[in-house]
Amino acid sequence: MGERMSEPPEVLLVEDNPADIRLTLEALKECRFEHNIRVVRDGLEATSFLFRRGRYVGAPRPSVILLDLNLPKKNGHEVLREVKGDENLKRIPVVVLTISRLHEDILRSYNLHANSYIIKPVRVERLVVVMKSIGEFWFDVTTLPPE
Amino acid sequence: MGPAGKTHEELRREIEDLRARLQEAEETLRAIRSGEVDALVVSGPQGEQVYTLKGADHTYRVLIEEMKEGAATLTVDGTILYANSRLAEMLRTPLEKVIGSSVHRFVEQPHQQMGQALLQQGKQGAAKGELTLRAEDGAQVPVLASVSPLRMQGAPVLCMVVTDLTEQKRYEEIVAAERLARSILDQAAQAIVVCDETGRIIRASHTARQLCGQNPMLQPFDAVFPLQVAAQPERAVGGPFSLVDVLRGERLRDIEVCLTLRDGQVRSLLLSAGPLLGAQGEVLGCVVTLTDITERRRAERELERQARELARSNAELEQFAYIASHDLQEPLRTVGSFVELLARRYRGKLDEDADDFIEFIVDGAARMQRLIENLLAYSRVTTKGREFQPADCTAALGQAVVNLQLAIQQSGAVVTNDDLPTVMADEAQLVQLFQNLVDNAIKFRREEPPRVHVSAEQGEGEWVFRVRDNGIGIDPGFFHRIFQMLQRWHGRGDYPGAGIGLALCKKIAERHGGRIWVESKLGKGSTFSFAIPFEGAGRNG
Repeated sequence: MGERMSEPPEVLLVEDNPADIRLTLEALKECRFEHNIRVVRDGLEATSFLFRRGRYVGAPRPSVILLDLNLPKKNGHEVLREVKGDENLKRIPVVVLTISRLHEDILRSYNLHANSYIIKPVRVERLVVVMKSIGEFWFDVTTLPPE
Repeated sequence: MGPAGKTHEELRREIEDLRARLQEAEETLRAIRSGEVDALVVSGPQGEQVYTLKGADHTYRVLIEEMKEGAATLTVDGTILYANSRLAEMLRTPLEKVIGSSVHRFVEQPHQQMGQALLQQGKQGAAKGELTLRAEDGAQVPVLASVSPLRMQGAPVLCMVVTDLTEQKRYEEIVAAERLARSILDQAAQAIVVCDETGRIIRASHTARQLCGQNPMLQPFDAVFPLQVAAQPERAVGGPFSLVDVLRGERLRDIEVCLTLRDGQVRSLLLSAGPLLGAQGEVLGCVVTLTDITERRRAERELERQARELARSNAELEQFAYIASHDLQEPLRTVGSFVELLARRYRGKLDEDADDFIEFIVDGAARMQRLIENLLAYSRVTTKGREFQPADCTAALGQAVVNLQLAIQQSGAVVTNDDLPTVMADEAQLVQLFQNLVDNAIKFRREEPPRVHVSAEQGEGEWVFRVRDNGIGIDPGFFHRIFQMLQRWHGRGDYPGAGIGLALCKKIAERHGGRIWVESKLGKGSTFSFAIPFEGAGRNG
């Protein structure tokens, strides 16, 4: 943990709705834990970022991915399949963050090796709690794979 | 030498003589019977004597023998003194046996008394009566018998004339049968057509004549009624109808056919047909009945169309409610989230008005959120309903109580229940139904802690569940409104809720083929009841 203290963890948020992006950022802000967050707005952007294609050649490798399911161009499940199918990327924890309660969405996500499935709470108060939990669990409790 | 000392020659002459006299006597008897003789000359020891046959005028005697009626003279107790050969013929008995017999011997048992009475009356004056005679061979002969007294010297004698009514009866029967047939053909609402064995029309009812719009007599049925068999599921083949099979003895029942009238109108008809059988069971032709069902079919089609239209618009409406409420959620979430954020960050930092405004927006957004969730739940009852399976109602109520734990604790409510049955149902919806009813009972409570009791009893083909509470009760004037969507009967501030719970209950009960109702008195608590059929008769899925 000591080494990571100097360099805050990288978080990639894959989300298309500007309001939701802002809300997530605001909730994260209230959590007060050190992190760098980057946002991509569709599935294609997400895979370009992760595979460092095009303008993302120099993109950092995220420590955790927060992934919405309902995305333009390439949906969340497709992104998940590509990430978990890649020898290099599959170790990155992916937290699905969505409003979908559908059983098939939940099962499909875990079948594609999502590390966690979180239904976005309606209340901001709860969202802050959820963000805090994510931060605590992945960056404090958990030991992430070495890079 | 013969007896009495007569010679052989004398005896032979005597025999000749006797033979001649016998022959003469037989001749005479025959002549008397046939009426050829009206007087006899008999040689006797006192010389020749003339016997006149009283009243036996030759002409009348012949008349009696020749007439179509049977005639007889009787003693008052009914012994036949004389009968004509026509009567003997009627009774199929030799004349010798008729004469000397009692007339009652020939009267059919049920008419014996009538026969006796007729003779009694006949003694006083002319009497008539219809009765049935029984011939020697057992055959029944309906007759009209007239009896009248004969004025003769010595003992009173009756004269009887018997008219055979067999032919007349048969004729009457034929006339009656014809009258019946004609009445049927004239009055039947159906078109009835009788054809001979070649398929030509020999009788047609009034309606049949109207239907074909021409004189159909002696024309081929298939030409007068060019029927097309309607294509039906059970009879795939359509095409022109032909009487051929019916004329072979086949029976048809309610075949749907179409008839195109001369003016181009098409009538839908139900055709039934069967053979017209002769006395020996031979096919003489056939009888065809056509029932006009054009109006019925039209009404059915209209009804079907309306049902389809209704189902379509219902499904559309449900789909609309689902999509609308689903899509409304997203922007509302945004509004709700940011106003909440606004309140978190800026409450007390702006001015008092701003705080009030924020409060109103937060409240409005939260209410709308609940409303939409409820609308979604409402539309999901049918769009996302699951298949019916045996569902334990005690367990369903238990789950509902668990879901309401917080409300139960806060209100100090006591929820009790009898043993509840297992019914065919969508279990999740059953939980929702119990939950909404118990929740309602807790919400609309008086000062004292709510007491809710759930029971069930068998009704006719259904289980009737009751949820009884000790709450504030409902004004009977509102009974019909409380199950409608978005109907509130309390001010918003007094009792929470979006006014959809009971509408949802109603929809769930109805999806299960059941119903829901309430009994209540203001201030005396309410009992909500719902019925679920034993076999889950509702819309499955």
